[in-house]
Amino acid sequence: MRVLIIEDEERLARNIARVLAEEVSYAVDTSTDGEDGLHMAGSGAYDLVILDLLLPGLGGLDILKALRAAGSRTPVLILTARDTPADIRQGLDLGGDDYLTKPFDMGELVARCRALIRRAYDRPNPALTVGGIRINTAAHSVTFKGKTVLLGAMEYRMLEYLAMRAGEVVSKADIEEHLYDFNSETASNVIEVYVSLLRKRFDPGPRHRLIHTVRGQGYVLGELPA
Amino acid sequence: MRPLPLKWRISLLVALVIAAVIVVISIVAYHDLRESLKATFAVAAADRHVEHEMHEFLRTLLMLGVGMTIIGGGVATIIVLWALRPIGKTAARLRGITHRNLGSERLEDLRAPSELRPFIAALANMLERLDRVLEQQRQFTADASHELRTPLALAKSTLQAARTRDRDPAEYRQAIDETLGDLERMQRLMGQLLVLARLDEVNGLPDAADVSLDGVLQRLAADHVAEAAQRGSQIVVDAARPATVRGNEGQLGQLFGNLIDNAIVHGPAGGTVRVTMSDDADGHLAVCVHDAGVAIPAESLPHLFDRFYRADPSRSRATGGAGLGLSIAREIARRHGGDIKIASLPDAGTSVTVRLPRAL
Repeated sequence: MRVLIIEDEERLARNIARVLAEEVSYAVDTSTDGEDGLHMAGSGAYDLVILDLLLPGLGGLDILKALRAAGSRTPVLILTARDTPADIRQGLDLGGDDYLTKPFDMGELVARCRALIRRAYDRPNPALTVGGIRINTAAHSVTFKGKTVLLGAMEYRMLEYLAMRAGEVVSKADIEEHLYDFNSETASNVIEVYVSLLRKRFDPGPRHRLIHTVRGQGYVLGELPA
Repeated sequence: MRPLPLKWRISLLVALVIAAVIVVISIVAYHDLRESLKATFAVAAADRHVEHEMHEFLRTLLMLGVGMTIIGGGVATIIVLWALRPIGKTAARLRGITHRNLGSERLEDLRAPSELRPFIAALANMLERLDRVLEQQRQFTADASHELRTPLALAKSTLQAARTRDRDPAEYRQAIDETLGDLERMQRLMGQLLVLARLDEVNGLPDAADVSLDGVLQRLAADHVAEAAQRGSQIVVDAARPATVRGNEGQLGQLFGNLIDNAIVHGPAGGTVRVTMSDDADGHLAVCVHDAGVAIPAESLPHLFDRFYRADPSRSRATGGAGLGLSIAREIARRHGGDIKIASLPDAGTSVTVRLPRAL
């Protein structure tokens, strides 16, 4: 999952980014400027945008309006010091999906991010089950056929993303977009490397029944689409 | 004793006038009738007949007079009540006004005679002024809460992020230092808010005394040497002659302290902050604090004294200012019967000039 934080207090953006990366292993980009933030948010690569309202350049509400006018479906969590009911109403009515006021609790913010992303992928259940794999997205734990499996951060990130879209063909471009932030350097075959790692753990054997390759299109976790 | 209601006063007046007119008319008519009757019945025997006729006439006059006075008074009461209706309506509307709908109530739709227009217009004007003050207060509260929440959010997120797992001592140190910086920012802001609240609370000058302005400036310059040195800057005070103003020494120190702070922070590193004192017209003293910093954009100049205004949000954030220093300075200058002006030009830097009346 990849999150964009548009927040002009650099330190706050950095703190949130750090927690999201460490605790839920999201790929995180930050923008401290309104114009730049809108441009990034419009790219469609993000699973969630955390949006401050008072920004230099373009204001947060204008970003929100522009995003929704352009048809963006990305969930937007408004994170601001403005806390009157009128502000909250306005933020939500302009297309915001959630509203949290500063100062906030980091754990609560992370839980809200998870909930918004679950909803966006139409997976209301925080536990994802595909084949014998059970992913607890809240606790970040994975079991396979009842046994706990310890995954590296990138492996988990990839598995969670594929599980969120289980039963669909997920292109390599999508995976690259949603799992890596701007600063990470991705080697051309890195996705194949992680797919083969996941296969070793969950889908060994010459014939893959859980993680399928659709030639020229991408990968499917779980049942192949009809 | 309570004054008589307007309606009774006017009806009483009208009744009195009617009664007086009727009495005068009666006397004149009585005489004329008597004369003409006497002329008609020019016989002494007819005297009794005349007396009888006159009695009849007098009785009719009296009844007519009393009736007209009562009717006149009644009509006057009704007219007055009708004329005063707009006052009742206005009062009813005013009763419905609270701090919430103050701004939307303009009283323009009230139909009132031209005599009452100025009264209603004055009321509407007062409502508008009250609304402006309330709006400013609301804005101030919103800004103050935003300014306090931001460092609070920073401090909290820093500590929570550090706390999520075990980290190196260096990382903990960084988190602590950053949090201390946030606390300092909040402390400074709370101090400023307190100063403003105290200034707003009291009218005039508490503990006014003769203050040696040159002494205040010299002392402030000495207090700020270390702060200036951190940026490699220096402070030069040109206030050799003694000059006395009437005022509160603490407040004056705050005023010029804010200006010198600004000059150090916004001036170039390694620059010179110049504080000069000179005589001005009308027995005033002018103190100018000058720095050679980047010019303030012309469109920002009129807003610099507004509370929480920042010409450049990102730069001020780095310096930790909340945009209250100059509004405090202006408030204090005004309390001392003076004023404050700011001029900023490219190449010439920024000068803030405070004019204060000399002590008599």
